Amino acid sequence: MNNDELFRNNVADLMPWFKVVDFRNPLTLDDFSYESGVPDKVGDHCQKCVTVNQCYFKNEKDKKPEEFDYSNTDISRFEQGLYHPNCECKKLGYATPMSAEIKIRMDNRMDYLFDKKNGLIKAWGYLDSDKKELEKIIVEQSKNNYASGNYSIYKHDKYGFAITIYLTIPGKGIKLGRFYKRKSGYIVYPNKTLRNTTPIGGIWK
Amino acid sequence: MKIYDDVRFIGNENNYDGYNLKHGEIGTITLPEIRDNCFYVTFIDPSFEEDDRSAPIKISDLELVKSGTISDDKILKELPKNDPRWWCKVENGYILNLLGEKKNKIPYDYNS
Repeated sequence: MNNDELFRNNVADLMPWFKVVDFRNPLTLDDFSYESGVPDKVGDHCQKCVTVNQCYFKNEKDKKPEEFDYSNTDISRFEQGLYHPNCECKKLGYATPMSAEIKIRMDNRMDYLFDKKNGLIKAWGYLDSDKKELEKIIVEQSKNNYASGNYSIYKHDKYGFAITIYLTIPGKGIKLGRFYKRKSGYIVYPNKTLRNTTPIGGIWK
Repeated sequence: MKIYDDVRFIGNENNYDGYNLKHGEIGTITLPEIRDNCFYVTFIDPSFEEDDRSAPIKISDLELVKSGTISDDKILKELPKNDPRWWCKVENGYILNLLGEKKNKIPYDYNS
């Protein structure tokens, strides 16, 4: 760790956001492992530590990966890692990111949405020709809501930490003036990148 | 099998504790890369009101229902860091990447 990283590590619990870094592990969710992607164990590193490496989270319960609870253990302080005993992941504190810093990967997700949920989208007044417009609404709201912490951790598996972002989609055409509260699903990727998995999911209240 | 193909879950539900999968249900592969011999499959609630369910499912527990028409170029754009070495297709019992390399030696034995 350099001086800046050491400082950020010391103040991590006081800062609104943090980045997880394992300084001994260059692998992240983005890196190809020729054998098996991200398996349960990559060398000395566990699946959770690889999938969380270099990712940013808001420093609030249910918005960040759960840390190991040492309260009822006799594990020595020197062995107490962040996510498991002897874990080498560190938290580096950061200020709240600006939405412009968030990168969203939609790829071909809008084609999938208009194929599988065409009836729903049409019912909101959007036509097939409105794909780009709806994508822009989803992307902009997702960036803003993630940066403002309007999200929650949904689950974790070998594909990474899935989060739910809460969107309010405006109706169009004859549905102008109406708003639809929907969840959108993402996987947290390194360096403030979110990879969309579900553009429009279930209703939120 | 590849991203955006429709697939049927034919595995044992008990091996996917916590994912609420149902034997025989049909979902769509929604991420291109194969990790640990699994595709990431999403099941849509038909009423569109409940959350979609997604799970990494072993390739051997999936059966192709309907193949999409996505090109290799588009798959490449969806892969992490656009790296063509990621395993991303299953054809004739082989796990393949976009370089045409095979992961398994014996067809349909994905661990070989």
